[in-house]
Amino acid sequence: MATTLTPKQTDAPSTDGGGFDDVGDGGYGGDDGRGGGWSNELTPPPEGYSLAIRLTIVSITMLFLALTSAYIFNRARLQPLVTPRVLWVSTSFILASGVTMELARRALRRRLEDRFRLWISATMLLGLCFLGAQIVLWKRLVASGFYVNKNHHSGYAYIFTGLHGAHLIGGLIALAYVMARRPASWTAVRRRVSVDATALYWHFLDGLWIYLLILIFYWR
Amino acid sequence: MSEEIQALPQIKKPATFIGKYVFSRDHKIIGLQYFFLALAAALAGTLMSLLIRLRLAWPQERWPLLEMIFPNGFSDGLMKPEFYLAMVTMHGTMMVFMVLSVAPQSAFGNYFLPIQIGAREMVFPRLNMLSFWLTFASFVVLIAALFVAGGAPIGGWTFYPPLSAIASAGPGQGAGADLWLVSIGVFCLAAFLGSINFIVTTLTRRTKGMSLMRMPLTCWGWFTTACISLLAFPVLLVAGLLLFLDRNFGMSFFKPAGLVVTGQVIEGGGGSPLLWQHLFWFFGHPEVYLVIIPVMGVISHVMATFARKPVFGHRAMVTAMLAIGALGFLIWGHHMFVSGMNPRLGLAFSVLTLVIGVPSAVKTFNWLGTLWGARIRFTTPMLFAIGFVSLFVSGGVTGLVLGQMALDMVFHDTYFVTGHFHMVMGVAAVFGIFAATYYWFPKMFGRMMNETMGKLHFWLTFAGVYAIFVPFHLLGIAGHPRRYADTLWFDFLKPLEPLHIFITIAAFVTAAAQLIFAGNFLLSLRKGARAGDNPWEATTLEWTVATPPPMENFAGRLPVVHRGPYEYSTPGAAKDYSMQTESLD
Repeated sequence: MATTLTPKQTDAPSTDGGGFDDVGDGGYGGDDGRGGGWSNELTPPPEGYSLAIRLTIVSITMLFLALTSAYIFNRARLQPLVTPRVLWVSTSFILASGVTMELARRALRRRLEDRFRLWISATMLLGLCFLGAQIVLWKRLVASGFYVNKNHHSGYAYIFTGLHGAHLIGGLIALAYVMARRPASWTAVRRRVSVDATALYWHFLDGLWIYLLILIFYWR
Repeated sequence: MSEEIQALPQIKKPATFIGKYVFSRDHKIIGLQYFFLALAAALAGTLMSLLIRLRLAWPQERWPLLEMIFPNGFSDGLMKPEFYLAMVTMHGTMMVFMVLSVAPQSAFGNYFLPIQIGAREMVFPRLNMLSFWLTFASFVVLIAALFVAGGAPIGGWTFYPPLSAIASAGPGQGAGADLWLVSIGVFCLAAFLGSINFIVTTLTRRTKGMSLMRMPLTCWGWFTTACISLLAFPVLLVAGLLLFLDRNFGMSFFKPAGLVVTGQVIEGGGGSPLLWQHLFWFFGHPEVYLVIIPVMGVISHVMATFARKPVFGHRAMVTAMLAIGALGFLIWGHHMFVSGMNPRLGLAFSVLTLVIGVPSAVKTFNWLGTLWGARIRFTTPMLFAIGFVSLFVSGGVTGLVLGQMALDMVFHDTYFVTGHFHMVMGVAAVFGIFAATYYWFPKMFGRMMNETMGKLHFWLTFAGVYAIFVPFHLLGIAGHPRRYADTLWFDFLKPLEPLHIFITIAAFVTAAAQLIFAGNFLLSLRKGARAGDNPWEATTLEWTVATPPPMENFAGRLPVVHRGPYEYSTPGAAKDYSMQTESLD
């Protein structure tokens, strides 16, 4: 596809997140109305990735908001639950992974290929460590007698952490993809936008975890 | 005006049959896949509704032939009540999810959105393929619920707990109910993927000159609906997930304490069935708008074409669609007026519900304004479009009745409600699907549908649905509750039996009239008159491409748009329509 991209048009980095600024212009009269302008490509336009990931984040937010309202409706927080110390381990892992993700993104911008790979690997490793720590968390909960169906609070703890983990696995797959795909097989801009989109998703999961940590374990 | 000619890369054409028609990435093939899936589901759903009608009209009649087909659903030729309830549940689920949520949005949207905005593909073709196959899997799982031990679930399409949370609550509440939940969960994922694709395609793939306000109203409908899907389906997914855990992992999010079902105390407890109602209707109310909004787009589109006039109040139409979409998220509580909610909260829901009447009326009056003073071409799609407006108004005014708490207390869970939603979102949307099918059939299959058969189909269906659903309202006013399997057990229902018999006969006649459509469809596929590129003399981009559209939609170069979507009968113009691609000079 690269042969058909006219650099000035398609490789300009998007700053507005995908064409929202068109709202209302053009109209019936005149020829000044314009479309998205990306249509001469076959592969997704670079801003397509970033818009898609934002929409995904909106949808996932709805998922967790719905669960939160159910959590409040069931008055789950009023029931007992332990707070294992391993929570701090997993939290440090995921916070650190947010930092390494950002370092990777910056390395790519400065075209430091080796460093980019190093930091992406570190992010993936930290992500895996986080998942490991979450499994330890589940084991600690079980050891304290808080099975899935012990009470609503423990039930929600498993649902929230499980769903967060499932989405994190999706993030790991995305990280593996941006690292494994040969740089020559896509344009630099497209690659950077993909990494940016992945980073956005990763930071979202980062923030989501902090929210869940407070919601489940500290809000009484 | 000099056209910019851009050399376009070739789309790699799939070489194998499987690549072309089965695991296709072509949005047109995927649109057709969705279309035929919806047709199959509509056939199944209609047959189920006929079984329902048989039981309601003649509860004590024996049907030995049917017993041979459904040995578990009948005993001694009598339809079992649980089979009746399973049919009610499956009819509702099949129609709401697999027909009404699929055909207007996923089928026609996939086929025509890229063409109408001047794109050659959806932005994420693979994702598109995945969302179709997930929908298909969801359909298969739903059908499978009919064939497991105990049969299909009997809880109704709203699946209210606590009974739906307890496997021992009745036949079909075991494996059948689990399959139902799995099917709906998969459907949620498919809807999410589809909506991402629609939104990103609309915002990033419009061709030169195609500003947002120059998009046809169909595209606005699909876009708005995709936004609703994106926000509503996750909530249904959560509800389904929690219910699944309640059923299979000993949780009790929805089971209250001390619940006794068929003489047994249910373990656990401490949950609330009302939680389900909140989650379900937070999805469920936007759901009815995600059915009707793409249909509204189609109706405006068809109406402008055959009224030979621009859509009256184009901007107002767009705004009304967005307003309906947004307000749809604030009114779920009107499904729960009898749940014991605080009357002040009920009042808020009630007022917001009535407010929806404003954008709905804007749309209706704009349709009438479009027809006003027009030289109307009464083709079959136009008849269905006008029929839609009639049904939408008839069904809509009863919404104003049900939206008021005091009246809803009386009508809740009666046939009045059933009549209301069948009119306004059921058959109205089906009329939209028919309008779209008759309108776009020439473009999709290259041949015209037979007009005589089409008109016969329209008039029989139009009279038929009124004959079916107006009496529903009468039943409801007489206090007839929904979902009752046997009307003879209650003295106050006995005098209503003749009405049931009338409805059932009307239902069979109307269903038979659909055979005319099926015959017309099949006949026209093979023998219909060849359609030109623009048989209706319409203005939008789908009529600039070849019939049927080639793999790449636009051969060689992308169109450049110079005009709004509905420039009909422009004063001083040589002919009564100007295509969007015609330059102004």
